[in-house]
Amino acid sequence: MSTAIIYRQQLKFVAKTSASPKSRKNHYITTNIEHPTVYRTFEYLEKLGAQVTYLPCDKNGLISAEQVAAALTEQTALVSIMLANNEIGTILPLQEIAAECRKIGVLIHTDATQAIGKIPVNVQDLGVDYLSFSAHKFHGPKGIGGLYTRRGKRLEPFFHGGEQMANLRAGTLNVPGIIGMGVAAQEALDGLDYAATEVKRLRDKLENFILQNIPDVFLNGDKQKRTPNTLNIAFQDCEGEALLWDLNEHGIAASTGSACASEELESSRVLRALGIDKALSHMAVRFSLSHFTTEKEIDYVISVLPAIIKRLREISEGK
Amino acid sequence: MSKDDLIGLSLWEAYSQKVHDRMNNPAHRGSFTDKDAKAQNCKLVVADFGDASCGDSIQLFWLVDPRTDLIKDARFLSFGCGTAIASADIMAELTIGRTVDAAAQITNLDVEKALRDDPDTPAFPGQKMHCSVMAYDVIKRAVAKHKNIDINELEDQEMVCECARVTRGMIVDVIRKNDLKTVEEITRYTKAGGYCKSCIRPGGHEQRKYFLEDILRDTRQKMAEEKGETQTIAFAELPKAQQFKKVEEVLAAYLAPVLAKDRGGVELADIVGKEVQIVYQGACHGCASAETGTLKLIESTLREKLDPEIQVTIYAK
Repeated sequence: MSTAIIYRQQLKFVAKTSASPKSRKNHYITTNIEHPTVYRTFEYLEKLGAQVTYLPCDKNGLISAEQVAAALTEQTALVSIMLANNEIGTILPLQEIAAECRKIGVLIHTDATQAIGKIPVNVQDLGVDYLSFSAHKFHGPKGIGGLYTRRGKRLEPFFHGGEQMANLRAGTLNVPGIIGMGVAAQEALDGLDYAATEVKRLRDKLENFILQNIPDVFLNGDKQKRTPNTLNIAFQDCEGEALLWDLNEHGIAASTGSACASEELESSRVLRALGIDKALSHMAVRFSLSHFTTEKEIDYVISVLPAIIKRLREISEGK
Repeated sequence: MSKDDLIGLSLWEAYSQKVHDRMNNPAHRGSFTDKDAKAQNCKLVVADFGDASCGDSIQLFWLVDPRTDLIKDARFLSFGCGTAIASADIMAELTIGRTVDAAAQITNLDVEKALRDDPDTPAFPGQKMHCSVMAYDVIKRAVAKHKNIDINELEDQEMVCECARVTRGMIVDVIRKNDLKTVEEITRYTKAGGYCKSCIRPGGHEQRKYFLEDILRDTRQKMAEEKGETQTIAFAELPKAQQFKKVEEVLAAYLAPVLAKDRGGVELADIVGKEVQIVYQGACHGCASAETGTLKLIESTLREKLDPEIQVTIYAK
């Protein structure tokens, strides 16, 4: 569990204090494609009596600033909308969304975990009040993350009784983690051009190969407004986990929208939010690239994938 | 919590070699046509189970010799994970050479056992059990098709879990065959209750007629009666002092040793109806799982030992 999650819990705590029935501001706005650490936190707030609006995304996973503006009320305490989605990579228009919030003075938090290191993230340009992230998503150490807080925007301490982090989180600082994250952040910043060009080129190479050479495939997410390293694609008649099995046999790691292996049997909430066919949501896999992904590796995936898909379709459909 | 709980095996390492082999090279994948059947003077039987929108489906093809009722050959098609495909493959193999009636006796346990490398090590993780149950269910459907009888004659059709299409008869059968004791186990074996969860107990977002908790309780009760165990007085009807004693016995015998490992403990505070109110001791205070996992463990243990309707809450002063 990353430290960023704890930071988000911190936000929950802020939210909790204003979620008491006494408080006037008891309304929250988020989306139906947030990461569970945000989504479930809001579900928890609902149990405490908060009113939560879950804005529905469109078929590409986008949320518009107009949707947010229409949902804002005088009771709205906080808006929390992710910058980029973890499953499909769709990048949300946070700058426009934050502008709507600022118009009427509502606090805005964004979960930028999936964006940092992939696209430029500048809190001044975005205009958000809070921004949270995890170091391991940009090759930093595990167990450390960050929460940007705009000057003057109050936070309740998460752990009481220590002066660390401006009284916000008692406890000895994780110095190696902090330094590691700092170095990783610098490298991620230096590597943004590489992400936007080379990582994207390799992702597009894999994507175009699949779209042009394998029939009956469906791309999930927004083709344009998307993090350069993410490819989420469904292969008709190939169950997602079976596909992971075969990929694993070839030494390729990917992840699936199918939840067959977990105790939760329902397929991905994010994919269902896109409104795609339920059967298809069990057939989606996500390929994630990084700065360390090589052309040779992509060529290898391209060389084995058609046979894998053919095999699984033979098993499921006999053809 | 031990190191293994924190750093478990990779999921890929939790499968037997046989599951790997069957998935990587399923010998009986494919289908038969009427032409194939005619060529062998056999009758073609085709049965389906599951649905791709639920995450898996299976189709079974048999060539049955009409004179002897022997299954001459079997093939399958499966949309599902590795375990589903491996289970389907071994299932098809197990039916070959048997009569239809003998094939009807094959259960999900036979399927799982046949996939083990070592008789004492499960072939795949527990949450995958439903994959072997699917293989078993499709056999039943094939038998019904072959005998041209309504599947109702093999099992009743009262649908309990609409999401996973699991009937009452199937659930009772799985509880009995596998000696299941909790709703979580039923979900693991049949997928029932794994989706919208409305069929677990009343109060879900969908209207339901049957609930897993009721079916489990009734089936366990019947199983106990059949064993000739004397029916004890229901927990709810006991005088309060005896209820206290029973709960305290269970806490001491089953939960205190577990919690003590982490320097915690639990004491009974009060019982109101079927609500058991507890107070945590030691390290359980402030433990992240005290309101979730631990509470659930206490509840499921009390439910199993005393009354399936017990609710456990933390006593508020």
